[in-house]
Parts: sequence; C-alpha cells; structure tokens
Amino acid sequence: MVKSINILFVVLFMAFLLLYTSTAIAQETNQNQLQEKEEIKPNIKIIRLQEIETIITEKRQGITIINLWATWCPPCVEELPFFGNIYKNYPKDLVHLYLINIEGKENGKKVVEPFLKKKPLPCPVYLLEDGTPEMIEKTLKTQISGALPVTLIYNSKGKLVKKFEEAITENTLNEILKNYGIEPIKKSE
Amino acid sequence: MNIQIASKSQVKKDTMFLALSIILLSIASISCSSNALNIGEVMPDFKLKDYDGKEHSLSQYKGKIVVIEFCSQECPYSRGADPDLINLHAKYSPKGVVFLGIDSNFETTPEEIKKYALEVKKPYPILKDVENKYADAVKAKVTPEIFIIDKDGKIAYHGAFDDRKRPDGKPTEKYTENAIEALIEGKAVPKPETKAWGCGIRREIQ
Repeated sequence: MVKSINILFVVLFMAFLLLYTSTAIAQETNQNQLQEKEEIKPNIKIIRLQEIETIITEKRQGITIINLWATWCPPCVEELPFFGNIYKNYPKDLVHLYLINIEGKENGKKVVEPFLKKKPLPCPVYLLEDGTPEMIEKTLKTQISGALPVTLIYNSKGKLVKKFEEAITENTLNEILKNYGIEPIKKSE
Repeated sequence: MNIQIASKSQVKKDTMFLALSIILLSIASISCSSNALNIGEVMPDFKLKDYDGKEHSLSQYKGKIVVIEFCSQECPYSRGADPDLINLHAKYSPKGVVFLGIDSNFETTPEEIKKYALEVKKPYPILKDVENKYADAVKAKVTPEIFIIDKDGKIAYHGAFDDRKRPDGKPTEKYTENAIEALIEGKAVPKPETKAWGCGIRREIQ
C-alpha cells in the first residue's frame, strides 16, 4: 500500500515537473517570438529636404553618414545590412546614420514597410517627403549622377569628406570610421 | 610727378590684366565643372551595331527627331520604363520620330540584349556600345537616361525618362513625351534638362 502510494507520488511529481518545464519553455518561446516581432517592426520616419540641410550643416561630434537608396536598386539592398551593422556596432553619439529612401512618402506603407519586414534593419529608415533629384543634389551641395546608391560622409564640421556613387562594403565603412578614430562599442563577454 | 603717372597707368594695366584673367578663368571653370553635354550642343555622332549586327549612326537620321535611351536589361528601373517607351514608339514613330536604345554596360552581350528585347517586344534597335565609349563621349551616367536630338542634330532634351520614383510608379511629369510633343509642334521643350535616378552604367575597369 505504502509502496503504491510512493509510486503514485513519484509519478505525480514527474508529471508536475514535465508540465512546469513545458510551460516555462512555451513562455520563453512566446517571449522570444514577441521580441522578434518587436525587432522586425520597421522604424520608418519621414524626412524633409530642409531637415537634411540642417543635418549636414550642423556641427556635431563624430561623423554623419547619408545613404540614398531605393528598394528597386539591387546594390542598395545588398549594402543595407552593412549600415545596419554599423548602427549596432558603433556609438550612436559618434556615428549619425541616415538611410534615406527616395521612393516617396506615398510608397512608405505600400513598398518600404513590407520590404523592411522581409529584410529587417536595426536602425531607423527615413522616407524622403519631397524633392526631385535636382533639389536633393542642391541640398546635399555636391554633384550626384543619379545612380543609386549614394553614400555621403560628413565630418564633425559638416564638411563632405567622402562620396560614393556605388555600393560600399562594410570593410570600407569600418576603415573610414577607424580613420576618424571611432572605435566599435566593446561588447561585454 | 612723371613717375607717379607711369605707376598709375601700370596699375590700370595690371587691373585690366587681372580682370581679364578672372573672366577667362571663370569661363574655363564653368565649362570644366559642367559634366554633362549642354542643351543645344551637337550630339556627337556614333557608329554602333545593333544586336543583329546592323550598323547605325546618328548622322544617318539627320533631319529627324531621335530619342536615344541609355538602357539596361538588368536594371529594374530601366526595365520599368520599357512599357511606356514601347507605347511612345507606337505613338510617335508614325510621325517620323526615331527611337534607339544603347546598352553601354561593359559586360552585357548583344545576345543578352536581344533575348530581353524580344521577350518584352522592344520594337526599336538596341545598339551595343562596346567598352562604353559612346557613354563616355556623351557623359551618360545612368539607366534609363534619355537624350532627344532635334532635326538639326542638337540636344533638345537630356535627363530622366519621367519623374517616377519607382519602376512601376506613375509619373506626374512625362519629360520625354512632353519634349517630343514640343519638338513636333516646333515649340520650346518645357523642361530641357532634368536629373535621372537610375542604375549606374557599369564601365570597364581599367
């Protein structure tokens, strides 16, 4: 009798343990999924030409990177994750990153948001609200051919120091930052 | 006293020389800083073969309005303009307007150009600009990039096909069509120069 009670107790305990563990795993999975969902929610902001002018002319610590891109441009799409890594790996007060999509505000919900859900980025993406390529060129104060992608790098004094009218590699970006004495954030082990 | 007069005339001469130099230098810098060919300039001639090996030159179309499209069968933005270019061709070729495509991407072969052209039924010749020499001569940078040449062989329009921001986008201003219309009617082109978004023309790496 005592023996069978003992067996019952062990079985019950095991069942409880199993239930507890599976619930905990399920909770953790849900949490992870939730976190993933939060991570892939695209952070899209609207930007006007006037704001770009302010961004590139104001003096601030570190460097400012402006990248013009479009979802239809294969080399642009290819290099976006590099910028995402730069955003994650470097101090945000020293690397001011603006990924500016030129497809227009009207294509934000229809095109850019679904694109970013498929190819998430850790950084905000800016939708240019106004402006023809001519007006953009005038605002950026440098000649551009119109070929995308365009990457412009401004120093702390607001002076254009690098211009790329072609795809850029992560190594090139890292090198440029290194040359300006900007080091990646040290990750705690 | 005499010395003073001499120095005054010297100063005058120097000032004139300086002013002249400044004027000449600024003229030179204006012509150097301008990358693209100017509107009204004679479009350089070419001799290029289409994907079937037939040679075309710009001079053979003298006296006609010629629409030149720097195109790329790989560039989504260039491909996006194709249905509208095909429509423009249908509308204006009966009125004597000539349409020519030029592919200057250095690694694209005439076979690839032909395959794509037949696939999308592009009805006009597409010429292969070997080693992108003609693109260099006219400083074409992107695809699609349009040059419209008037009956005198001069550049009447240069720039974007229209103002769409996406390959399948709806334009609000049809730069190319507006320019063709104006030229047919003998009027001034409303916007003779615009800037085009697009894919960079891939040049041969030297």
